[in-house]
Amino acid sequence: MKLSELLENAPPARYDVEDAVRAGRRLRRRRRTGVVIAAVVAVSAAIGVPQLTSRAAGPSPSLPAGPSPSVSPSPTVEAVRGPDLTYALHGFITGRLRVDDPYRWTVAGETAMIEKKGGQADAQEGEVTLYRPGIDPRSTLAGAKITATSAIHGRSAYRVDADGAPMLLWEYAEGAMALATVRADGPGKWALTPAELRQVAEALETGAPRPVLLAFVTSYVPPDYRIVEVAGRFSAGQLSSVQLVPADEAVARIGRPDPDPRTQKGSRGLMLWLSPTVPSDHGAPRAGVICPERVAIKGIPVEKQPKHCYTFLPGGKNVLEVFGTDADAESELRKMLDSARFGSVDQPSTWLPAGSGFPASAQVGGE
Amino acid sequence: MSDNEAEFREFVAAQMDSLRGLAFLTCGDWHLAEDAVLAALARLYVKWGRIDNHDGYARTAVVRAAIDETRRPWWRREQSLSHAMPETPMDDPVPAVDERLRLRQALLRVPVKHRAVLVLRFLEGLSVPQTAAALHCPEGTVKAYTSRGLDALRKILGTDPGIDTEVRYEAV
Repeated sequence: MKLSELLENAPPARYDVEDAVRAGRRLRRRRRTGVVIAAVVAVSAAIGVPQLTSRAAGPSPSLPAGPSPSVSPSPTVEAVRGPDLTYALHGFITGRLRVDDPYRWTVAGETAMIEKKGGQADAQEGEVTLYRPGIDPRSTLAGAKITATSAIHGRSAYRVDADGAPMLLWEYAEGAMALATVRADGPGKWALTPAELRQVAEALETGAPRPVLLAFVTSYVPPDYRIVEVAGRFSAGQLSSVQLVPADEAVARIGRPDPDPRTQKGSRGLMLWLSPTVPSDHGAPRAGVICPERVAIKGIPVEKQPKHCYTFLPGGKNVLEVFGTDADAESELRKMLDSARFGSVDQPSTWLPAGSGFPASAQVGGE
Repeated sequence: MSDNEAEFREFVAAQMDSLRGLAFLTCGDWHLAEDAVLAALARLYVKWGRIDNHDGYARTAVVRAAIDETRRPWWRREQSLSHAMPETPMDDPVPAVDERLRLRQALLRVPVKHRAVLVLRFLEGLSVPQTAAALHCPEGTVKAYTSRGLDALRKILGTDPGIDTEVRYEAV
């Protein structure tokens, strides 16, 4: 008997060529914008240990005694203001390793890439995330083995192992923790040793706050939305993206690690992203804001499909898109794009500070 | 539509059925198999212009995605399988059909990596070096898994699996 005989009476296919093309386009978009790298566990998904989150339902690891930054209770919308849209980490070089300036800001912290001299030209070998004081990322590491290792600058440090993926967790400032991870897939996989992660930790210092820069800003954001993530200067794509969620959800994130986007149900937020134009997706460059007609896909009726609008940047090479939920008004999405200003995408020196470019009301804790 | 996208569409139209079968025999469930194929094709779409061997890349990606599907936490598998038709063998008036179901069940009890080797070699007809390249493992491992996989099938079935292994003897 041939194994191919076991495939007789196969059910009708659920996917066709169009589904494959759509899935490919979605993946390309996500990679271009860096949206997949949206939380420390999502960072692990992209460069570290995707198996960590798949164990989220399992028992928590027994944590060694060590620094126990207190996790703030969930604050109320009125009570607090979130972190400023600034970066504390400045890029540096240590031996053969280069830590870039951060490319991603979230309510929980900031993330920078680690690159190794002589490594992959088109991919980073690891990442380092600095959490804001009081946030303990160990709750995101369920399933990992965490063991104390020798102190770094007199503060506690831990080696983290998850199915062979080495990570280093340490206290980089009083009550503030950082996590360095190594890429576990694709180019650059496993290219950093535990000793090199320690080298990064020992050389890392924070400095004066610097503004988070983006290739675009907008002076209008719907009143109830707050910024929870900003990514810019991602890889060679020179892209920028901003994620916004309802104010109560944003405030609830203060003092906690970022939620894992893969386990969050539904999409309650707005996503703005700037990327190169894809003619098959966006058509020929034209003026104004375009909101494509929604269509029913996979049994989801038109009225439940998310809203989507975009506008071309001057020159037509790049496009700024906004994706909203089915409940968002299209007029609000249009207004966000109509109120956008742009730097020169290819020249980061012309980019705009997010802190002043977006309305004050869009900051976490803003009124 | 770009040339790359047109080529990709042509490739998917020609290979979709074959890739579905490959994924199904690796993970044992049509629903999961199709999800694995879609995930693999999405990756192929992104890399289309940067790789030469689209067939090889797709096969590797599909097998790996299908193996990953078998490793998902049990509760997620349960969710996905809840809508799938049961694959339990049942009496059939045509003995050949019953035999196929029996072999399919037995194949699913073979360790997943051994199964992947068997499927690549005896469904896709890959040689030992080609299978090693597809699974990113040494040729010796492919030979060992082939032998152990067939042996496991014999033990499960209590008899020779009767798989056409002609390719194995040509390729080893």
